[in-house]
Amino acid sequence: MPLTLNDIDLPPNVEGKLNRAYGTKYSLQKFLELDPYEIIRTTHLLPADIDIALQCVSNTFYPFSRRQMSVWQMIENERDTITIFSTGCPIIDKTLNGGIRLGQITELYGESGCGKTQFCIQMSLEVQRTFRARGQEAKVVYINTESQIEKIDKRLKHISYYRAKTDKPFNIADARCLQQKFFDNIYLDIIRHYRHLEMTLIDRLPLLLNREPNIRLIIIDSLAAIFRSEDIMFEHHTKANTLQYFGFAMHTLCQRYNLAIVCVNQVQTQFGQKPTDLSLLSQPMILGPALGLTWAFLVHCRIQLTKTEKIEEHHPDSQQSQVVYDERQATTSIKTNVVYLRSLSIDYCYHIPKTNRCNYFIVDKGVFGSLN
Amino acid sequence: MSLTRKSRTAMDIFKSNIGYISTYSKKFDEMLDGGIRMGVITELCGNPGSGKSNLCTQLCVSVQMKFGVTSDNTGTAIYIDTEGSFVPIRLQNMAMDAENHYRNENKNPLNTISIEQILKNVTYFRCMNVSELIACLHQIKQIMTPERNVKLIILDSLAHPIRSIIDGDHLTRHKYTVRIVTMLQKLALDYNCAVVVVNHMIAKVGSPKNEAYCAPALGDAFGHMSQLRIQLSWKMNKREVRVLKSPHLPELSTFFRITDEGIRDIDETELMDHDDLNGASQENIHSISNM
Repeated sequence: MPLTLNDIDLPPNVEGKLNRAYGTKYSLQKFLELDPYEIIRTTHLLPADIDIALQCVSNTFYPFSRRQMSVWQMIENERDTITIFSTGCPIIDKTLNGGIRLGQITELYGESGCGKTQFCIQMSLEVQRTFRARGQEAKVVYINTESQIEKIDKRLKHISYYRAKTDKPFNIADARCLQQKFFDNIYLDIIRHYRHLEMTLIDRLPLLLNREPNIRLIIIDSLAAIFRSEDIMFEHHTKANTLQYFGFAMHTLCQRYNLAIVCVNQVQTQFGQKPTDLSLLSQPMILGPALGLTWAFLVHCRIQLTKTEKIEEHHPDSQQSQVVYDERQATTSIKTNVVYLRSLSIDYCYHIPKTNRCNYFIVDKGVFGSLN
Repeated sequence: MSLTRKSRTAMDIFKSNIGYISTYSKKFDEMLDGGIRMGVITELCGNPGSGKSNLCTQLCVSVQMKFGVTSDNTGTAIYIDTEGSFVPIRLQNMAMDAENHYRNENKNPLNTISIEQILKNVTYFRCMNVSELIACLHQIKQIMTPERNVKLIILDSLAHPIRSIIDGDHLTRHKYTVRIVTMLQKLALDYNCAVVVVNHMIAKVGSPKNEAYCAPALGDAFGHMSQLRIQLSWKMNKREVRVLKSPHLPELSTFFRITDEGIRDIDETELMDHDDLNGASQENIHSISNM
């Protein structure tokens, strides 16, 4: 219930004039947004009275005694509640200084085929784990916008099968049952138009979160696909405004319901900003995150995933082998049990140093970091 | 509010000690002629990841250490967070090293403040939109008591709630900006505390060459309201800070780095290695030949 003028106590003459001018059902939020001079004009109150009125309204709308906290208290509170959940691999967790943080928006961006969706699927299983296993014992909302649902389904079945196996099931039926438990905790939705995403963020998700308070993670895979599809036209400034609107809605959701939001972004080529007169070479094409500067300000933690040329041999989980031709020695060799290494680095985050990076690879069991 | 104030001459103002808050990076402080000043609004702008929130947190720590603020004053801080990026562990890490830094700089461990006390002296508010921010600022007077001795107010950031006003045009946003900044100016003047406001950047297209560049957000109206405007950015893999607008400081720029312990100076050897390809914009304070 939003607070109205009815809910505050004011001296009677002030209250009478305000009620006559605005009505008792006038929301406090709107009252704070009004210009004080306009209030003086409409109600003919003295500035001192307006001051008292604003103090009372502020105190009710944003109760100072409840809202202010010293950082010491915050740290004490954080000792009792766990605000980070693991991503499934200790090496990746170490790069992220613990894992994905609740109450913040994390963005993963990279070329296609880097493993963003794999990572998201793994996170949606990890967050269901117990607190002891550094999960949050919570459910997930997975909003899918691009790939076909069968791919995600198949992959989910694979990884959850391995997870169920580690819980030492009694027999196949038990394993299936454990697997089904994982699926039951994921709310999957397919959204293809930005208006549907808007409706979801503003109306549908709050309804779901009120009904089901144990949701701790929302994955939007991917946010860029909605804004880059060919059949939806945007004028150039409405795209930024829509992103700002979405970002603000996500911030409100994160804070009010204490969840983490992970968004997946794509890349676009960005040319160098300043022309260097000294170099005759053309500008190198760098791949940077899509969705622009407006979105960049709304994200708390930005993670870059890139492919590398490196491979790691003799990994027990991989069945692949690769033929390598060494030019200098003119020999071919076969490397067995190869995994292709990719790189994960932090673009920016308030509490994580920029130098944090690690290599990771994707196998049947999931996404894991590598110490190479 | 008294209508008659004692008139002051320029000499009075010149002689009065304006306190500064150190940023814990010597070059940064020198560029700012001491540090972040009390009694005025300082604006920090920069792209995401440039270090604005980290600098604000460092100021929260340095305002409490005796070394930080000149004229032998220390004070507490208020951190108003509108974006939600503040993580308390970061402040704790900075506070833990602040003692070491003080000892290194001053050679005498005159340190009577514990980490617990440093953390207790920073008050944190989270405001989700403009109304909450206005409500918060209306009530801040209640905690600006002499015992509390608030010397620093940080608003991180102002651009986020203003840009999130959906049903409004430029005029509405301008109105809110002016209202909030006027409240902050009054607080800064009345209680002689430093106010730091964090701003975003927007991409603009310049007409002569049609190239994109970044400019501070919130428009020209806000641009006039701060006394000092600093831009943080990344240049050639180093963090750079530049004075964009100031009545008395030259428009210099310098480098710094952010470590686990906070804002610190960059190593001198790193400064010498890179060539300056873009001559027009950078100018280091210490000429490199003096090494």
